[in-house]
Amino acid sequence: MSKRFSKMGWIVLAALLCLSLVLMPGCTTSPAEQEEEEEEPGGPAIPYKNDGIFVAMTIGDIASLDPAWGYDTASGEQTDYIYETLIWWDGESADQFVNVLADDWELLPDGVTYRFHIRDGVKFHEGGDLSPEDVEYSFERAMIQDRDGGPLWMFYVPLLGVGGYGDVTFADIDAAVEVDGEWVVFTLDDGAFAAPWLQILCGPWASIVDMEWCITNEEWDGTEGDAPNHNNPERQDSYLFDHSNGTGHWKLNLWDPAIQIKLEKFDGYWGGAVPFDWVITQIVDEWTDRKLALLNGDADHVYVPRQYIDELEGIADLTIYKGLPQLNLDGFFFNQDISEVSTYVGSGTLDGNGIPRDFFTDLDVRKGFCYAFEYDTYLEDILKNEGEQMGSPIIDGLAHYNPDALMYEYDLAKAEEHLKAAWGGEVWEKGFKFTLVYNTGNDARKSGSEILANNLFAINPKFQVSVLATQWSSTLAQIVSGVYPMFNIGWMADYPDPDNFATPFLHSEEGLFAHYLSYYNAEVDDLIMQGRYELDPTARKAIYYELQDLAYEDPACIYLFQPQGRRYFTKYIKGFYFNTMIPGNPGPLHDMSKSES
Amino acid sequence: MELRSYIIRRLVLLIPVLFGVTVFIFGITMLFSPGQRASLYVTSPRQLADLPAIIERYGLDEPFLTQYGTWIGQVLSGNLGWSNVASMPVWDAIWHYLPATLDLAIFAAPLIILTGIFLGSTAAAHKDRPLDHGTRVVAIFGWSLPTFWLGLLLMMVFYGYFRGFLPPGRLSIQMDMVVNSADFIRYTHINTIDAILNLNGPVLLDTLRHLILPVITLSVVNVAFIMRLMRSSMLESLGKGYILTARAKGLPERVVVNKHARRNALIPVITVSGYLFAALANGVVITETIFNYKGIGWWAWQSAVRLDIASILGFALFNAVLFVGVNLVVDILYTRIDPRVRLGEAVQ
Amino acid sequence: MSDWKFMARQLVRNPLSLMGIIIIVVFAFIAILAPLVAPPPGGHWNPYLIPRDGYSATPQPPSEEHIFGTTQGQYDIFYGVVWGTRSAFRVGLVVIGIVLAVGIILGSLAGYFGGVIDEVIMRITDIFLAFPALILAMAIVSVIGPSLRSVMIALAVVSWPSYARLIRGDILQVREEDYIEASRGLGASSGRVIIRHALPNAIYPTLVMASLDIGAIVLSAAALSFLGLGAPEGYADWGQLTSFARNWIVGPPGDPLKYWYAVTIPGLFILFFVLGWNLLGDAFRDILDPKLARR
Repeated sequence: MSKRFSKMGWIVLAALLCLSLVLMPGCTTSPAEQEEEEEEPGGPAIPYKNDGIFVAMTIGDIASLDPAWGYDTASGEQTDYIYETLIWWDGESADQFVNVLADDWELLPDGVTYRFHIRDGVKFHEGGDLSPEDVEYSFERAMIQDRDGGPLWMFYVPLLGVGGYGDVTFADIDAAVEVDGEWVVFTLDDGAFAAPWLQILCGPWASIVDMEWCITNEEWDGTEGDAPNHNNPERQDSYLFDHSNGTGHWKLNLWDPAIQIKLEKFDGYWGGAVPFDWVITQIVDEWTDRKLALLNGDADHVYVPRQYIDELEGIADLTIYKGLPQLNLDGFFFNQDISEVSTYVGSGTLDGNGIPRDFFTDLDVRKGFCYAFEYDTYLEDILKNEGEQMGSPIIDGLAHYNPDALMYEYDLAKAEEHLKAAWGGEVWEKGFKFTLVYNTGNDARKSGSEILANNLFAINPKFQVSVLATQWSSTLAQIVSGVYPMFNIGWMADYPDPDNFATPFLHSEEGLFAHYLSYYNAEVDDLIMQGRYELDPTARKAIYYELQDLAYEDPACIYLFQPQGRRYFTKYIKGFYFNTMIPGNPGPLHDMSKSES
Repeated sequence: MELRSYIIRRLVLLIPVLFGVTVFIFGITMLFSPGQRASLYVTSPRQLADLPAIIERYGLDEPFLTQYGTWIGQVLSGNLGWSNVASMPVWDAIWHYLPATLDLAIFAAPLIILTGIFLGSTAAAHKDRPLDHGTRVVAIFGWSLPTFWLGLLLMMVFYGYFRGFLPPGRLSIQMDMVVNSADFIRYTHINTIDAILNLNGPVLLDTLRHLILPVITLSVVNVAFIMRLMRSSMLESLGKGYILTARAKGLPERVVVNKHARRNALIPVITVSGYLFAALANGVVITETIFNYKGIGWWAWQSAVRLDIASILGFALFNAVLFVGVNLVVDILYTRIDPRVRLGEAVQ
Repeated sequence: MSDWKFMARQLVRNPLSLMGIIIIVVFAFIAILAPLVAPPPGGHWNPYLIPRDGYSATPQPPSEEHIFGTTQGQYDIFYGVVWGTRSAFRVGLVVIGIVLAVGIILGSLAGYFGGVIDEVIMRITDIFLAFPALILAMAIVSVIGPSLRSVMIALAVVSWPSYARLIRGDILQVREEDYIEASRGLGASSGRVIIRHALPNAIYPTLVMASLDIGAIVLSAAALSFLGLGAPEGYADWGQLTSFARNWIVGPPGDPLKYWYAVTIPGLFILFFVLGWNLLGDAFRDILDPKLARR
């Protein structure tokens, strides 16, 4: 044993170590004050790197490069760079269009026939020429593929009035899209879809592929006999899953799954000069890595989760676009028919230790909950004041949005009133217990759940709601099986039409959310159907206004917020403008540029 | 026992082990309901209605033996399934992500072993004196460090404070372009080796820059472990009879230590190198995740979190084969180092 | 039982192990006094859930109200590390308890009876050992569903094989000893022989391993929580607390170390806790070495 430290010495040393842990707070007086680093006015300078290359960092890999497959934003973004559609959004507008692969189009007086004239002289990346046959093939191929959970219902419903491949014959698909000389003709099922159809044509699923190239690579050969072989394939069984051949500004150079996607300039692009030689999208899950990459100039654009926006304030070399009106809405849904195997309902009866399966069918319960939610806190802390509260699925930016629609406010007195009346007073007397579930990693949903739980507890200590995190993988299955008493989920626009929001939220059969949460209101169902097929704008407005009122009177959920978006770029990137329907976060890359000056 | 028959016998024993591993993991995944397992194929809420179709399509509600049988049949015909995380077949995914991890391992492993051996013998040679105590405390300290915390601290200092000095990821953008260009031939996909083979200095430097922090993070904890082991085995062999004889013969202490004690002390180190494989396998998961370094550890973690069952099973098989292989090599090495050990003897 | 007294005295005399013991005792006090030191909000609130002071994401530096500051989501760090001590003890002791029990039973059976039983048990341990512990634990936790309970189960499943092997090896050594023969000659049943004679002598190395392992178990549990496969968000668990700091290791430009408290404090608690157990275990090993050599 060393003589230098006596035994006492070791004891003292050990004790000191432990004490230091406890006394640490004493030493922690604002190291920020002791910082002597001078803050350069306007923050650090961001160096200019990678001339001619646009580098974006995001989270989440693409699902597939096949335009007919992708229904997620990441896939849509890359499809948008590689392929093109017949028409495209005009700047920031959601209902004005510019011509792209079609150089002229018209809607015939019958109100259901569209004709598009296909542009000449357009080349595909692999050398082919664009022809009307390519266009017809692209649409028919997509409809034949119609993979489960894919976007093709957006072709089927307007063109054929049905849900999918199984509901029609090959002849029907063939007839829906036809070639007439240099024109391509679409025949709609109902005149009500005339306006939405144009919007749908701008989506990535409406991209034009090269027919000969596809057939050479063993995609659908165009005949009826081969069609069943290409219906609902596995993700990886489509050749276009990881091979691309479009007419767009950039062509695929490399897809390194979960790591990066590299696109390079297409020199033969019909529309002239391409602004970037390379477009590189890297998948970087750690926020810190993305932040530092942006500040060091290694990335031109990164995805910034809302909770971290404070860290990028006051930096002159960053360009921040705020208050972008996104077409999203989150809701906190009530499940009105909870499954019997649910473990989230406590005892399963109204005895103070649980809730019965039909707990939320009582209107007073739902209204009480709607009044009990602290909307302002959510807006301030979670949305950083960048959002607008909504009272119904018809949100700001959709046609026939009613800015004066009734909405619930945080009002504990009214909440108490309704909860006292709920279930004949039993709710108030006995109290209840159940579990709120959110998917791990989603901070906003976690906080939203906790806000609700805390407020209910504050109203009456017998209202004991616990909050639980689950994996996303479990979440969906559990929604389908109806085990959640309440669930927080959101919707993003497929195309900017009020029907695209009203249906999933409120229609008892077709509604994605309403159906699984057993919301049923006959009047609402009727109005939705009427609104979908109504051609006269005035009449349509009246219908949707009434719908918004009904959504307030018979709430299917606690309507949360329409969040406003932000985009972050270095100052070297110019030309960004926001259009909520453009799939990718970096936006209209083909109209943007990068330069040092 | 003859070397060849020994090897064959060991490889044959591999089969029940593989069988057991896969049954176990498969069994665990069966704890999920068919609905939950189906939702792994689903990427957005819009697909909610398709869950029953998915269940039917993949036979997710069939009994355990049927599903296991199907899977085994596929494996035996060379198909390990499809990795959702990697968007490629599982077999391809393993070879896709392994080079990145090897890049780490070929620096970390020698670093750990050599540093451990050096520190351990030094400690043993100065037993009970300050140097011994000092290295011992340092070792225990290092051993108690949470790997993930060390990684975060290193990032905090070097990436945050010294801005951008040692960035995460494998390569910078410019170097990445070089590596993927036609001029650069990727023999192994291990960037350091490829850079040397292509005689490309900048790529080599860039790779090394990115490797420093992950390698340090990976090594610190394990060095401590090896150091301790080396020390105690050195002490043991220093106390042995032949050492006394060597000293009595008047050999210089240095020769005693280097030639005799160390050689015999290497035996447990060889064992430990086998364990090092397992330790590194554990360590890379965290290290790769923190440093955005996408190797096989990262892939294994993502597969576990996203319940990519095919990947988990494929990884299990791959790992079991590797582990048994490493143990086999270790056992054979024993016979080379210690003539007293014969093949087939249990070495405790 | 003078062996134990001897061992205890050795432990106290060794400065390093003494330091370890003190550290562990201090932590034990923190754990026991947790409700006093960091009082939980009342009612049905699960005391292991860290109270939040608001919902904004940015960590707040140490202040009068939050002496260690708050981490992402305004969780009080002080509360978290204090109650996290309880979680750490729970995880460590429960897992070791299970593992010792299972390991001892299976190891004894394998070692004493040999033959087929031995082969089967050894093959089973082979299967488990053929897999890196952390990854197997990850797979098990993600299937059962992340929670501290599944972490404990997963770690127990992953750790027992080494103990079974160790006990088996020691039983094998001890089996041939004279006094075992003597007991059997006198007519004692196998069970009795194992429990009263073979085990006590085989148990020392196991204790060494167990005390070293508590530290390793807590480290693994922290790693699992850090990776999102352990305690749920907002639970008082050191690994979970550290994972909150993941996005704040670099502050705004101009003050990069701004959120240092969110990163360093939970990590230091893990470090010291594990250090204590490792010091203890290391000293154990030193003490037992001469004993083993004596045999």
